[in-house]
Amino acid sequence: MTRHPLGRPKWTLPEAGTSAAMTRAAVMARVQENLDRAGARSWADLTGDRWRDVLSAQDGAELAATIFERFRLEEGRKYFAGCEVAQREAPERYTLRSELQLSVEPSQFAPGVIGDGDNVFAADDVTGTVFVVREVSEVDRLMSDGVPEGTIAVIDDAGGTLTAPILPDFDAVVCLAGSVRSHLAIIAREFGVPTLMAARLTRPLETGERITVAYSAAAQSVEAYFGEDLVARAEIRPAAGDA
Amino acid sequence: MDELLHALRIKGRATTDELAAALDTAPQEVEAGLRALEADGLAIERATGRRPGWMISPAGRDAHAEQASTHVTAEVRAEILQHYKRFLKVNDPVKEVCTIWQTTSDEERRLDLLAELRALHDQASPVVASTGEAIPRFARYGDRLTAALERAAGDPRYVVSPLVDSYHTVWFECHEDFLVTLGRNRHDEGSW
Repeated sequence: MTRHPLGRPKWTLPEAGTSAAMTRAAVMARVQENLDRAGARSWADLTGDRWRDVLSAQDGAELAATIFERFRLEEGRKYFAGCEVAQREAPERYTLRSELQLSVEPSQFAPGVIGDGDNVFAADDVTGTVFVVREVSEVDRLMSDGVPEGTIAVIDDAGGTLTAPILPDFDAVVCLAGSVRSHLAIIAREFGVPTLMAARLTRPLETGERITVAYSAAAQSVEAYFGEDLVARAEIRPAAGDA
Repeated sequence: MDELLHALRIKGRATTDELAAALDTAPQEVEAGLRALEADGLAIERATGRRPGWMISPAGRDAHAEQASTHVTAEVRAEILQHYKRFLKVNDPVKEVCTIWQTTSDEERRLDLLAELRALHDQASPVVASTGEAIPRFARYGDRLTAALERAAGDPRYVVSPLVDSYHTVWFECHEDFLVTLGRNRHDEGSW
């Protein structure tokens, strides 16, 4: 056989992602089944008007309909939604990455601590009511109705950018992503809004629950990179009397 | 695409003067434009609160998303993506300089940081300029970044303060505009 002039053809290279690998394997398996069923021994047997026997439009539709479920079973999770509308329109297929953030074993924390994060700057501790900002519509509502006093915003993916204009209206912020060098941290420092970045939690925080965050902890070093803490992280606890 | 609606979407909340500066237009013209958007239910004025100003309404956000998805061709978007990848290479160092600036008050250190920011600006300028050739509004980010850097030498607020057209303010908006133009979000790429 003549060697491909570009070396290894693309379809022999490993796939970058699980879903791509899974889809390719499913298509290849289906083609093989169809070849076996057609009793074809070589590609030439199926060229011409029989090519649809290899992979029909129906085969494609069937695989597309099942690949999401197979991915969920094998990966133990849904696809990550790249935009809000994906999750809203097909909740059986998509999830927000933030909803799947692995919780930390409570044993990793001191008793009573439900989470921690990198402190953007040292301030006073804050006790307040959690408001989870996850969707654009929630930010719109906060912008038009105003932010209730004593709100600690818990910000995940969508919030990072969107919440910047209302950042000074929060008493404090817990951000589940980023680092102390993120845009959000830079703006929080300027507005003097106590903020934790890259928070880890033993369980998801719920809108309405009251927490106390130890913003009086030393600021995380700005030299710290992801996953590397040069300064002890600031702790999050249920508010006293609310535990 | 409605440039005023777009500027409001990028800034989130802004005063007439801030929008006029961003669009390089007379404030009276911006004010008239905002009233027209308000009449169409696309913008809302908040006269009270800690930061009075204008914001985009949910209907305005939808209208903007529709305009944003159709106003650039796939070819232009592919070209912008290449510029954006170069922008991202400078993004982390810029945020790092801004962060260290905020956490030091040492004058000499700050002079060094300004020099670093100038060097990073020299890397970013051609990227923003090339993007501006494909989508003209990006050229204004280039002008505003240059202006912020010039003012920063005499007024330290122009490095990071969100209350003025600081280098970080404009950089953040430019980054946001890239994301909106490319239909991406920060979470997809781990860039907060």
